[in-house]
Amino acid sequence: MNIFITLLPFVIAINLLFSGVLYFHGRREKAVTLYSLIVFFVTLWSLSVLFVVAPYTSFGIFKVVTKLHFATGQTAYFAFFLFAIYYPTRKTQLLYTLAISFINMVILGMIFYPSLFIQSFQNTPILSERIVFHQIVFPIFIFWLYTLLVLGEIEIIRKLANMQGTQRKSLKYIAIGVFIAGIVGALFNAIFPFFGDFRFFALNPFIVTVTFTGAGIFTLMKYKLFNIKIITTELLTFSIWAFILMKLFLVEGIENILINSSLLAIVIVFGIILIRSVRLEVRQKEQLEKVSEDLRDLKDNLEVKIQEQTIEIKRAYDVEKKARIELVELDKAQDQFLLTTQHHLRTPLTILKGYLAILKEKFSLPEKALNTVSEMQESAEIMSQSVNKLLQVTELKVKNKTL
Amino acid sequence: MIKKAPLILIIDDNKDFLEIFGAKLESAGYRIVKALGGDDGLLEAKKISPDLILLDVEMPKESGIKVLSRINSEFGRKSPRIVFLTNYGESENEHSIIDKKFAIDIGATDYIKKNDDLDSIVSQINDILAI
Repeated sequence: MNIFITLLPFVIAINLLFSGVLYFHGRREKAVTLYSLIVFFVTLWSLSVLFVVAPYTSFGIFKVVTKLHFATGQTAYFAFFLFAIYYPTRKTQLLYTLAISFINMVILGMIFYPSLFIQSFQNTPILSERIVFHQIVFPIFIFWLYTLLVLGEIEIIRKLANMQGTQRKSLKYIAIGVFIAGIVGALFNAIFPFFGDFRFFALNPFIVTVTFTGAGIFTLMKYKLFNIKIITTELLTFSIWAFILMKLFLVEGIENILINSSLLAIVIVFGIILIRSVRLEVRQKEQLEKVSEDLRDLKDNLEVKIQEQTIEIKRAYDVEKKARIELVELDKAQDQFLLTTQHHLRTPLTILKGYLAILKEKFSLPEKALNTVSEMQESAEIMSQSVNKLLQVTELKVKNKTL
Repeated sequence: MIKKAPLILIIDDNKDFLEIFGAKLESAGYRIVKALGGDDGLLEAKKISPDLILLDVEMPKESGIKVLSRINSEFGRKSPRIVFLTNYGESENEHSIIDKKFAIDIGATDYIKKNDDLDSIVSQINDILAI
């Protein structure tokens, strides 16, 4: 127990640093600010643990400290609920959020001023305050803590269903971490002490820090929710500042104070330069990554476009080819028609010519009639020759085409 | 004893051609029997055993080529000489169904183009029968 109390300041410092880093990096995103708020209230809550376990002579002060302990814890839960509502994008649940906020305020009020509620019940305030606090306010308080936890988790699980990739994984780890921290937090620091068991009281901030803050840090490192390089640099720089500052308060003698304060000034200046340069570097890297991603997108798009156009060209080619084939067929049909027509012309002509010949030979026609038949034969012959020529030309054309 | 004039059977589905060729060849001194279409032609051929058959290639019911194979299978080795009558044969492309080689290949003696000059047809027949 004692070792945990000794280590508590470190836990508080880690939470405070993490919350600060999150706050300064999440200014553009409300959800990240809310997450930093949760961490900040966890920090305050851890601090209040330190105050609660401190030796007190006055019961009045202890009572106030205990109430502060409850209030910071509750606020941490409430901040988680808000985070669940706002991360990653907020849905329009304003009325619901406002209702929860109002109930939260009422319960906070109940913790700090149970007498307000007591007086409406009974006329003997001093005696009743304990009873009311133990039998009404405290159960409601515990119930409310777990309600906030469950509502927040439900919200996150609902959002997980619509999420993908890195964001989904990171939120999953946060949800699990918060769940464990939330269950254990209220159990060890409110329910157990209520029954007189203070064994885990000072240990609990560790557990919460490991599960909740740890989940945040783990997610941050694994999925680069924020850039780890900047944060590490900042954490290191801030730690050095804090260390030298603490030393400055502890040392005695004007010389030491002067040395330490000038050291602090130098470290602050260099720290700022360091952080700025790292930020610049990281930002350039991010820009490069974005550009390369854009390029990749462009490349992918290009490939898709080329594919689409290839298909288009092929389709157009197919259509053209089909049309050409149809045209050729049509041409063939036309030639065929010409050929048959000419053959059909030839047959009657042959018959005509034949009958004319028989007319001339078989019947002894008068001179005049014979001349007429001869004229007819000549014309039929001319016509026959024309048809033959035409036929030859058509046949030649068909032959060329076939070749 | 005076040698009988050669007997020629003309098979065609066109009455006009039968009339024209019949008249021309009769006046050229041949004996002529005319048959309208393949079935009739086959019957006549069996009945009269002609010296020469002029067979139209293009007939709607049964083509000359079919009629030729029927006559050949009917008479066997004693089959009369058969000459195709054709509308085609102007040039050697896909539309000229019959040429001399084809005619001989399938068992005919020769082929005559219907639209040739009638006198030239007569002389062609003279040549064929002289062999």
